[in-house]
Amino acid sequence: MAKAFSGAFLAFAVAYTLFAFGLPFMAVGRIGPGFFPQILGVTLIVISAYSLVQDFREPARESADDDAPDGASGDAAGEGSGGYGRAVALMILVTVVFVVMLNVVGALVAMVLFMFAVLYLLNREGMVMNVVLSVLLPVSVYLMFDVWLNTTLPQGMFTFLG
Amino acid sequence: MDVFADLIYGFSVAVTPVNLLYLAIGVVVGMVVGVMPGLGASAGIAILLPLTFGMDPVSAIVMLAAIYYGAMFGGTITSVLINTPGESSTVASTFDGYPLAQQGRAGPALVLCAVGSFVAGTIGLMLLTLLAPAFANLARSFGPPEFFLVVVMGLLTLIVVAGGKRRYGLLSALFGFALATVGVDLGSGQQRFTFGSPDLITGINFIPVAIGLFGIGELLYSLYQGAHREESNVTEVSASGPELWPKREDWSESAGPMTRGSFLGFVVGVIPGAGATIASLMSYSMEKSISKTPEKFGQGAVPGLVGPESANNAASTGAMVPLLTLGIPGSASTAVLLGAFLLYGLQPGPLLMTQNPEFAWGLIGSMYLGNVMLVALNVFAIPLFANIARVPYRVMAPIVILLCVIGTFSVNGSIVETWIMLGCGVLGFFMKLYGYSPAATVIALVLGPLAEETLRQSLIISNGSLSIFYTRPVSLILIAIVVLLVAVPLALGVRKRLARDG
Repeated sequence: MAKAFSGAFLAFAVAYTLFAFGLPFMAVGRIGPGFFPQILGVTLIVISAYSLVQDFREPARESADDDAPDGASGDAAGEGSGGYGRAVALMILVTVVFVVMLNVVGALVAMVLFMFAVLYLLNREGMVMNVVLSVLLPVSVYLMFDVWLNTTLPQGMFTFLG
Repeated sequence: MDVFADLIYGFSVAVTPVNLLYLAIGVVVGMVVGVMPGLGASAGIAILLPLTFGMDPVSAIVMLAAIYYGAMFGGTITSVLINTPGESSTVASTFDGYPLAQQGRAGPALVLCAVGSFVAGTIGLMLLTLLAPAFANLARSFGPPEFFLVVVMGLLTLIVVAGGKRRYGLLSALFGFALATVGVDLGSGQQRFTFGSPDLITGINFIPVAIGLFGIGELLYSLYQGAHREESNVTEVSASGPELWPKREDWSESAGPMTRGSFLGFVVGVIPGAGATIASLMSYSMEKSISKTPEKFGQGAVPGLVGPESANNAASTGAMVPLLTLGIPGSASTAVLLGAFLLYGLQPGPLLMTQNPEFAWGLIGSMYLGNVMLVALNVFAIPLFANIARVPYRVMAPIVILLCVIGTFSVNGSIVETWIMLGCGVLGFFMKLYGYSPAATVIALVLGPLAEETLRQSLIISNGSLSIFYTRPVSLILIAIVVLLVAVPLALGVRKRLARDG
């Protein structure tokens, strides 16, 4: 799967570069809009191709280089202990539905449905708590954003909630 | 001294009721974010950024910065109590912190950490107060060529120092640059990569990307690792009584590590790309190698806990130096902070300290106060924060996602940005899974336009000739540093490979 991801990078690099070459490299004697993208695109293709080749050359889990820690928050290359792919996929799916629902039923209702769905999937033992949270949190968030911060949240069909 | 006058001015800005309130909020939120494993400071800052839009820029940055160093304090709590670092920068605290907790000495451990962090933060701030104007003066002679090289340097150090495979880090950064090119090109007014979509004309806003990569990405990754299945096993901490305070010999053992950690951490923090995590690990190695009892490390050696704790706080302060004086972020969190500066129309760089003194010095002043608040909170309210660690991840996760989605939407009312955020979330998950660097992408996204602009300006000044980069002395020095940054790790890597195969 890691190779597929690297392959995707290469594909992106190629696509990006193709579009980049549609832009003028130089314009009026100074660097044009295509300058950076083209150089960037070519570099991307070279590096991602190299990366893909290296991925094929390396045996399955070569972790000798992987022990340098990094300065940002939690970026260690962890391929080890995972396996809850189904949970991840489900979470993504539910979130996608949530975002779609935002403009259909409005933010408040969508939030309540989302919270309930996720808690039902993850926290089946505490159903009462789930229901409470599913109502309490969205309402607090809604109040925080709509009333306190005065931002517009999607209303969907329920425009009377505005 | 001029510096003291500036500092007093900074305090006067920081000590207004409004700013104090936001400082307090930021500090508490930072602690909470730090305590929650799987939610990093960078995510916390990115998610709360949309909420600060109605605020005065100084107040907003005071709060966001408070989240940043507050998280350093908060991450310690989970490291010590449940052997799970709440922040990557507190990994080193688990080595000796958790054993101490298991020996029933969690209270003293946490107090020592709090005090150590406070001392380090204060020392770091004093160094910052002295160094920042000096750096700013140095940078005043910088022109576009030098800035371009500094941007490149900042990005390179991050890649060089980042974990995982270096080529993945490079690709992550290049990808960030590519994202940055979407939108209207500043030099020509021409649209790039917008594919006719009006939402993309202003480019890809870094907030959805940051929230997606850091917030959702990390969350999905934690889920993948089964965080929602784990039961929390938090060690009990008694809130009062003689068990809370460290013994006298603990204090005497800590003095050295605290001081050493502070200075080491600060220096490491100043280097862009090297941040709190590296500082804390270096401090651990240092303390272990100079200790007379190295065998105690890993079993609850106080220096092994206090040193790294001080180092990571000092490093987060040190990271403010390049951020404020040069506009170079050294880590994911500072990149988000930089993005926030830009959003508020503040131009980070050498002129920031002179043109917006109320901002720069107000921020520094607020950091001193923030440290005081944090040490008080940590010493007296630990059980409260420890309880947050008890909230199961499976309940925390939907709350975080909720905040990410709604927060992103609230920035521009754009559903497109929300989809970008979600897309980046999925991307961030895969990036973390395969060892790429979301931090490099965000930093590149923030720095990309800066790099392109400074390069363009440099070439305009030199009429298209690259010679400008090597005819200016400062520029030459920077090029030399950049070359070193690339060559040294390559050489070390080659040597390692030869040793392995030979």
